[in-house]
Amino acid sequence: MGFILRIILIIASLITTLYILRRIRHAKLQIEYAIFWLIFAGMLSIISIFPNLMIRLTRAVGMQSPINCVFLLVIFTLMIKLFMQTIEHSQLEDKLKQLTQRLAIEEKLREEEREELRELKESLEKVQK
Amino acid sequence: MKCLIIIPAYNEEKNIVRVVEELQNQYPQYEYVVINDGSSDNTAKICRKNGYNLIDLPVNLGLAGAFQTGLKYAYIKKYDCAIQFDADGQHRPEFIGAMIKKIEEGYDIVIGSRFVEKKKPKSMRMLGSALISTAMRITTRCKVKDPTSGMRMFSKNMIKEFALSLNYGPEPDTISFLLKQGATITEVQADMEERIEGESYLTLGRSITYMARMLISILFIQNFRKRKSR
Repeated sequence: MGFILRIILIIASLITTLYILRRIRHAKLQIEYAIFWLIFAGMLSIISIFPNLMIRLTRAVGMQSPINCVFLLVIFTLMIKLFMQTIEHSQLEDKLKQLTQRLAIEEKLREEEREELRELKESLEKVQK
Repeated sequence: MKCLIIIPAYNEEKNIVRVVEELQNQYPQYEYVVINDGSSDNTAKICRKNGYNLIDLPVNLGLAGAFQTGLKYAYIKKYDCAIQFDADGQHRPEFIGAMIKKIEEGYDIVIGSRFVEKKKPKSMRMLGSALISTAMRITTRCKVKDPTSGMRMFSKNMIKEFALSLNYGPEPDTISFLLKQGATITEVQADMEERIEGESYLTLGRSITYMARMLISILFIQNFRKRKSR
């Protein structure tokens, strides 16, 4: 891992962390969602500050260069995150659908009730006349 | 002082009747509301049949969302304080009176704590509790003996703040944040029951995730948060 690459990774992690913290500070992001990115940025920094960790891991899995190992790790992590987000996304969409349907149906039922009431009132008035 | 007992219930058909009946029969001076959190069992049906005061969420929001619903209701109906109360019978209503007294004394948050007078037993669960306690002590310099207790009472100001803000889940990290920002918090001894029916939400995997989340949140994230001026 080259020196410049390590610096880039550290700066990228720092910017990510700062941005996430800023969003939380202004109450624009839920803490549950921030934690993944903070850990991710922290890991990238650790890898950049202690490249020996990566070098050892690279040898252990028999890869050519540490940077490939870093890429692989990052890609795997992001793929898992993406996969989990797809599942969450799907669940959210389903909830939204259920909510919208329920709201519309309740509204419809209320309209029907109002209609019935009005008809009842009219027939009552007719009888009174 | 008008106090609302908020009972978030997710799949608690086996427990809800026992908990609500006890409140209705033995503690009629308190008002309560059950928040059914989109249960897949008959929790809502049972509440309707028995005429309980119920807010029925059409989808599952999780504990934080369900409890916030109760706080919004308390805020709109102008209650003076509100307490989070488990639907599984772990919390005992006889301790509510002492907690209300503390709110009347002017505290913002009162925790129904298992360990004010009693020592923490040694178990995995209590190790987690001790870790969170230590983390809070490091960042706030205040000692909270039972940070994971789910029995918390909130004053009128707190009801509003919790009802309307983001990242105000009923969890130790929010308590830690508020302590740091100058809210006054105290603990009152409140013994708890073991749950009688149903399974605990906290499995081993979930506990570890929960602990990691709480520690990162308390030790790191909460230091950067800003409390809106009230």
